[in-house]
This record gives sequence, structure tokens and C-alpha cells, in this order.
Amino acid sequence: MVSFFLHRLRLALITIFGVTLLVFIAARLSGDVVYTLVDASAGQEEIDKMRRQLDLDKPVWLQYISYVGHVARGDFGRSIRYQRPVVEVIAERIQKTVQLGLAAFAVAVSLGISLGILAARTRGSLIDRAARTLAVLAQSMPHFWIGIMAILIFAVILRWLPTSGSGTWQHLVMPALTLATFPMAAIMRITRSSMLETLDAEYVKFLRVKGLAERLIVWKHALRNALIPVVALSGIQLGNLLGGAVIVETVFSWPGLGNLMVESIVSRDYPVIQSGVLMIAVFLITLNFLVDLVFGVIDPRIRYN
Amino acid sequence: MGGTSTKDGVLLEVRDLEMSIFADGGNRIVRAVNGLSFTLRRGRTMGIIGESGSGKSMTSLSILRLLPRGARILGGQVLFDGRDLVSLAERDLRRMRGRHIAMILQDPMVSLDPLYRVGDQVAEPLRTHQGMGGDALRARVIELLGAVGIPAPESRFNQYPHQMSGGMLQRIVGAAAISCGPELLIADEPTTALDPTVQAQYLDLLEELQQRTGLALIVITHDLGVAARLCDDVIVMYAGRAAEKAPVRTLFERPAHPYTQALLSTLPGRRAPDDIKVDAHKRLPTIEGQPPDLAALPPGCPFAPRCPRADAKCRTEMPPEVSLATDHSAACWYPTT
Amino acid sequence: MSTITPGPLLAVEKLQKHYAQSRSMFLRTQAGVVKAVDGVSFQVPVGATLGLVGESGCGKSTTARLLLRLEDPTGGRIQFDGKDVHGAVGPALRDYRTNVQAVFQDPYSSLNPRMRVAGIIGEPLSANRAISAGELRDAVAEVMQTVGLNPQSAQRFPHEFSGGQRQRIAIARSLILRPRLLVLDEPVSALDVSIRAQILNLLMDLQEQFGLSYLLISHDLDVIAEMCNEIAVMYLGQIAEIGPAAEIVDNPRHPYTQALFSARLPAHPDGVSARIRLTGDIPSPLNPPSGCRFRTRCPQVMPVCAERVPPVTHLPNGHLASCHLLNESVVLGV
Repeated sequence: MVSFFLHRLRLALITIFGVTLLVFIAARLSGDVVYTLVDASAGQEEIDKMRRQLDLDKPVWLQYISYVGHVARGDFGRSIRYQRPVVEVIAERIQKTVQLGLAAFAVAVSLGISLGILAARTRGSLIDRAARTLAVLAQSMPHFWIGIMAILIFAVILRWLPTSGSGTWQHLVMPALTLATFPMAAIMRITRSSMLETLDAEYVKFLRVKGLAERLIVWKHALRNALIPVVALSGIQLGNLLGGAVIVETVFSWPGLGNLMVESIVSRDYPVIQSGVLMIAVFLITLNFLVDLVFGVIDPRIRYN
Repeated sequence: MGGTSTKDGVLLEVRDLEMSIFADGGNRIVRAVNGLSFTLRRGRTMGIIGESGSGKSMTSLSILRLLPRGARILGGQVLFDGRDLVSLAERDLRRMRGRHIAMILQDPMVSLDPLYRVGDQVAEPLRTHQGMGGDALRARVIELLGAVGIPAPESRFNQYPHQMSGGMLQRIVGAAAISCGPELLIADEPTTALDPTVQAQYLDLLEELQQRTGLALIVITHDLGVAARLCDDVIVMYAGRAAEKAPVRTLFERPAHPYTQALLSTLPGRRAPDDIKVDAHKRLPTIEGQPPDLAALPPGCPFAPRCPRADAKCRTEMPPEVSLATDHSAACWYPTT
Repeated sequence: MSTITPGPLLAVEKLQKHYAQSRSMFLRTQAGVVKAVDGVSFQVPVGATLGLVGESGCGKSTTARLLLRLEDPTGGRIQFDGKDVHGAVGPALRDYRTNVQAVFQDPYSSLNPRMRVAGIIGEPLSANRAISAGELRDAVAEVMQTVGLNPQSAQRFPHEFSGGQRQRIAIARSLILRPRLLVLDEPVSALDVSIRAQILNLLMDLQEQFGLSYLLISHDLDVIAEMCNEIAVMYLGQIAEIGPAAEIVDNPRHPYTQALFSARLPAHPDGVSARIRLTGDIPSPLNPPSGCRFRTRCPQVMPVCAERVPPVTHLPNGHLASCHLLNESVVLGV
């Protein structure tokens, strides 16, 4: 288990290193930042001065080394738009996104897995068919549409919940549920099919032959086996949540990281974009690392390999 | 089980068992078992022999009522120690499984849950049926593992299935099957490509288990050689029916049903050694044609289309089971006597 | 039998396939060599059948893959019709592949379910030669007839056929290029008893009709005994014993062959004989036992078996076996 852990950790660190390189290159390829920082009326002298200030006149590899050096020391530069350290700007926004994301993920996982098991156990019944229909609908409706409809119904017509913004738990309900729809449906479908496959396995048949109670067969044996692909998919879906968050945060004016990224792209606030992307990448890599560890806990075949 | 039956008493009696599988929403009815009857005495070994689609595996699953999806028992009785398993409540039947009737499935490599230690999986029937736990349970499991010939059972207890060889897993599955001291063990023969050494070890294991506990054994197989090696009595199945029932020696020496005779003649490589490749033109005897479609059985004898002895009567009327001697019968209009 | 000419069609000499177990980038894994096939020699004469038997993991399937040039050997020589196959490339390799075809175990997974039977059978021909649609159709019809399939059913799909018929389709596909050697890898293992004999008879008919040579791999000793002129018994990547079928079946000299054949099922309840029981599992080919590879499971093991690799002993009737027991000076302790 320890060598398995170390192996995964090494892979994660190498990936993070690769990401810094990609982020750095992508930022250089997106055009000359200097022109977005100076006035349109600025002369050549002013442009050159700005370039020198930002070290952009140095060779590219030196720029990269100084960039990695800064990042390693926690210095992500200053936001051009807010004129504050990027770390501060991102930190306050990321809290909001984590709040939204975790709420949505909790809903998606708990509902998705329970509905999936229910559908599998009642295969072919009305419940099963209803759950599957719902899943297809949830996966085919775009976030922004669900969000707008939710605002229309629950905020404008019924007046149960606030339309947008953040602060109270009521503010969280609609964006979290909107964000949860897609991953919930995906998790439900894979739980259902994985559970069905497991319940048909030979070892489940042998458990029945041994005379074990159905509840033991389903909850102790079948579920644990069925969860292996569900864990893999949940990791991916948590990553996808970040993508969905950009849209949902915009629809509900939720002051999170997604919202910040959109603003920063519009205003070409490249230190924020660069750090934001790096942040998201580190988050996803950490997530993958955790998913791998969960696999190791569930499955001895991975642990002992 | 504290029954009053004697050592030679009847343990299992199957009467007119009928089982069908309803596929395509009931549009296709696969008639898997069609009126099968047989009797098994305590401590004896019965071989159920047939090719794929003969209903041999479906028969064994019907006894434990572990039916595949869409399958229903349409008639008949399965009397185990006098109790009819067909009409037993699911709860009560579950108490029979693993405790009084055990079964070994075809492939030991996939018969165990990959996520749990093998010791725990051998322990499960004891926990469920006899309420054992703690150190006593652990000690009993280690004893069982040793009894089925697993070296160093204490250290094997904590291993996972993927850490063991096929032969070891076969023994683990055997240990789980006999853990509660069942009176009947049903062994479904491995059909996947199998080394002769592993197959021989498996048959040895079955024999050992039987000698150790005195249980009655039903062996499901496609190979007459398995019957010759292991069984007291044999049922040859064809299209869900018993073509012939006989003590093993009678079956090999005086087979009455043309299907049994054909099967015996197709066994390759079991001729006199000097026959081998002496005559380059020598060919193996074959049974021409294909087994019938169980969803569209012909009206008469199901073997008639492939039978050299068949006439008009065979093609229109189902032959009854004709008794030829004690314990020997054949479902044929023209049995060899 | 008039088409048979003497001389080996296929000659395999000290064939070797070692897989390097590479050191992983991050984990401390044991670097080593898996000796899947380790110095195997045999010959297949024109019109004859050589059987390869042994437990799973003995290297018989790897040997087949090497012969089919699906993998390259790490040592030794394969000669086909007197020509070296090892270095063959381009037209020489294509020529070899035309002459050596294969039939595999599972007729359910070895046929593309989305192709019509005519396409499956004709594919080797249309892929190898410029041929008109009419010629291809005629060739497919002819070969279907040869293997006992109705050419009328050429436009059907594999799932419309039974297991036995599918194996006939696979055999037809292997025959269409008119090869001289067929590698038969467990050709009847997935078939029912009554169908098995039909396919074995077909294979015997084809051998006689076209003077084909067979390399037959099977775990079924009855099939091997029935079909083969010669039998080679493999253990852990090496040939333990090789010789004429009657010799190996009736007069096995290597303890492994004796144990293997004693595991055969009896043909009659009276035929249940004492079996030589092997203990333990096959050792890993990554780290095979010193000396004789079979010594860890051999019921007649001697001290010398751990020290020295047993030499090949030439017995009467072209029968070869590698065992110290056959070497009198060793047995008598001279």
C-alpha cells in the first residue's frame, strides 16, 4: 500500500510540473500581453519599458524559470484588473466555488448512487424506467437552460428562493441543484449498469448458493464491486463540475472562480487566468490522486499490484 | 440433518420436473427441462451427462431454485429428504442452500468475490447458518482449508482470490461448499478449456470431499469419462429429457438408447492403442446433424432427426420411459435389450 | 496419400522466446527474463501431424505465435521448406504467411460478427492477390464446398451458424490461400462431443486430400492421441519428451509425460487406473528451477536433478526424452 501510494504521488508531481509548462507556453502563445497593458496611445518607448518591467525581454527559458521560481514561493503576481495580489483575488473566489461544487457533488453522488441501486434492483419496473428517462433528460438539458427555468419557476413565480447572488443557504439551493443534474444522471446510469453486471456475476451466484441473505449479497458484496467504476466516473464528474460551474456561476451571479475566470478572460487579466488555470489543474490532479487511493482501498488487486 | 432415513435411504427425488425460459418478453419459450424424474440415494454419486442445451445445468439450478432471468419451474416436484423444494418459501429454501445442499460452480476462478479474503468467504455459510463467529469460526475455517488440502492454511486465510492459482481456488470453493456439512453436493463440471491435470485434481477433490463427509454427489458433465471415473449412476440427457438412466457399468456395457450408443462411440482416442493411425482412412464415428432447437421441439422423440433407428412413429409420438432392468430405463421406442 | 513426399516441411531448431521484464520507472520490480520458450526443436514432415501438449503456461501457444510470425523469436531457427523464415521480409515473408495458416479455439470470437461469411472466407485472398469479384466468388464457393458448408449460405452472418459450422467457416478461411501447414490451436475445445468428431474427421479428410501438415495444439490428450503422428510434450518452455504418437501414448518415459497421460479420463468404469499425482503448481517461468525444470513436482526426483540439466536421451523408434532416469550411469550412481 505504501509503495502504491508513493508511486501515485510521484506521478501526480510529474503531471503538475508538466502543467506549469503548458500554462506558461499557452500564455505566451495567446498574443503579446504588453499591448493590453498600455494605453492605445502609448509610444514605443513606453511599450519597451513595460516589457522590461515584466521581464518579457529576457529569453523564454529564463522567463519560465523565473515563473516557476515565483510560483514555488507562492508568488503568483498581481492582478492587472484589481491591482491586488492574484493569490488574494483567487482565494476569496475559490471558497465560493468549493462551497458550490461540494454541495452539488454531494447531491449528485448520494442521489445518483441510491437511484442507480434502486433502478438496478427493480430492473424493468416502472421505477427503473422513470429513473432512466429522468437521467436522459437531465443529461440532455444544458445547465444554463435548467438554471434559467429554475429562476423563473422558484424565484420569479413561486418566490421561494432568491434569484441570484450569495450569502444565505437559500442562495445555494438553485445553483447547486442545477450544477448537480448532469453528474447525478451520469452517476446514476453507471451505478445501475455496473450493479446489474455485478448481480449477474458468477461469484454473486456462488453467494446465493451458499445461502447468504439477499441484503448481505447486495450491500456487502455486489455494491462494493459495483462501486469501482462509479468511483472512477465520480472523479471525472467532479472535474467536469468545474466546467459547469463557469456557466452556473454566471447564470446565478455566484461570485466564484468560474465567474472570475470569465471576467479575467474578457479583460485579459493574464496573471489571474494563468494562476486560475494552474489552480484548476492542481485541483484535478489532486482529485485523480485521491480517486486512485480510493481504488486501492476498495480493490485489493490494485493494492497488491 | 436428523432425518429418520437410513444410510441407503432416498435423499433426493425429482418428479416430472419442467422448467422453461421465457425470452423476448414471452415470445420465445425455451423448454429447458421437460419432465425429468430421478432418485438419488444418500452417499451415492449421480452423473448427469449431456451436451450444451441438454438441460443438465438447468436441472441443477432448478434443484436449488437459482433460476436464470425469465426462467420458471412449470411443474413437478423436487423432494429433498421428503420436503418439496419447488413449493418451499424463499426464506426456508435459503436456509437449505449451503447448509443441506451445496454447489460448486463451473469456474472457480470467478466463483469468489475478488474484494474479500478467501478465509472470510469460506466462513460466510458458517456465520449465516450456524451463527458462528470470532476465534471459533476462524479456527473452523482454517481446519476446513487444511481438510481440502491447502498447505499453510493460516497464512492462506488472509489472501485474496487473485493471489491464488486455479487449483487452490478450486479447493477454497470446495471448502466453502462443505463448510456446513451438506448432505448433497452438486458439482457443475468446468467447461472452459482445462488442463487434464487440473481436471483430474478436481475429480480427486470431489472424491475426497465425499469420502470425508459421506455426502451424496451430483456431477454435471459432458464427458462420459467423468462418469466412468466417478459415478455410481448416470442419466444421459437430451433436449431436456432423460434419454437413458442406468448404473454406470450397465450404461457402458449395455447402452439401450441410440443416443447413448452414439455418444460412447464418439469418444476419441479411447480405442485399442494399436488402432491409432494404423489405417489412415479410419474416421471417428459421428452423430450427424445438430441438437434440436429447444424453442421449437419436434412432436415426437427429440433425437429422431439424428437417429439411425427412427421411423414414422418416432417422429410423431414421444417415446415413454421403458424400464429394462432394475434402475435401467430408456426413453425410446426401440431400445436395445 | 500419393501427394506426400518425404522430408520435413517445417524444421524448428532451438527456438527461443525470452521476454525481458523491464525495470519499471518508479517501482522496484525485479528485473528478469521470462523464458516462455527456451530451446525447442522439432520437425513437421509433409502430410503429417505434430501434436503439442502440456499444461497452460508451458509455452505451446507462444510456440504457435512464433511459427505464425505474430512474434519474433529471440533465438533459434525456423525453416520452412528448407528456407530460413527468421529473417524473411517482403515477398518471402508474404509467401511464408500464405503457406502457414491458423485455426483458433473459439469459433465465436474469431469471426467478425459484422462481416458476411463470403467476406470472412474470401478476405485472405482478396487482401493478398488482385482478383476479380467473380473469381473470388468462385473460390469462396469451392472452399465452402470442401469444408462441408453450403455455398448458398455465403451471404449469411456468423451468428446464423452453429458452433461446429462456424469452425468450418474458420477452416475454410484458413484454406483459401492453399497453405501447406495449418497451426490448429485447440480447434475443437469449444465444441460439443458429437460435433467434435465431425470437425476432427474433416481435418483428417483435408489432410489427406491436400497433403497438409498440421501442428496441433490441444490440452485434450484424446484428441492428440487420435490425430497425431508425432507428439511433443512441453513443460516450462522446453520439450520434455518427443516421439511417434504410439511411443508417447503407450510407452512414455519422462515422469511428466507419465503423469500427464495418467490424468486421462477412463473409457470404461473398469479402466480407472492408478494416477500419478503431481503436487504443487507450475513454477514461474521468470525463475525456473535449476537443473531439470520438472524436479519440483517430479515424484521420482533425485539429488542430481537439481544440479544438472538432463541431456536428451535417444531411445529406440525416434523417441527422445530429457530425464536423468534414462541415463543409466546417473541412476546407478556410477
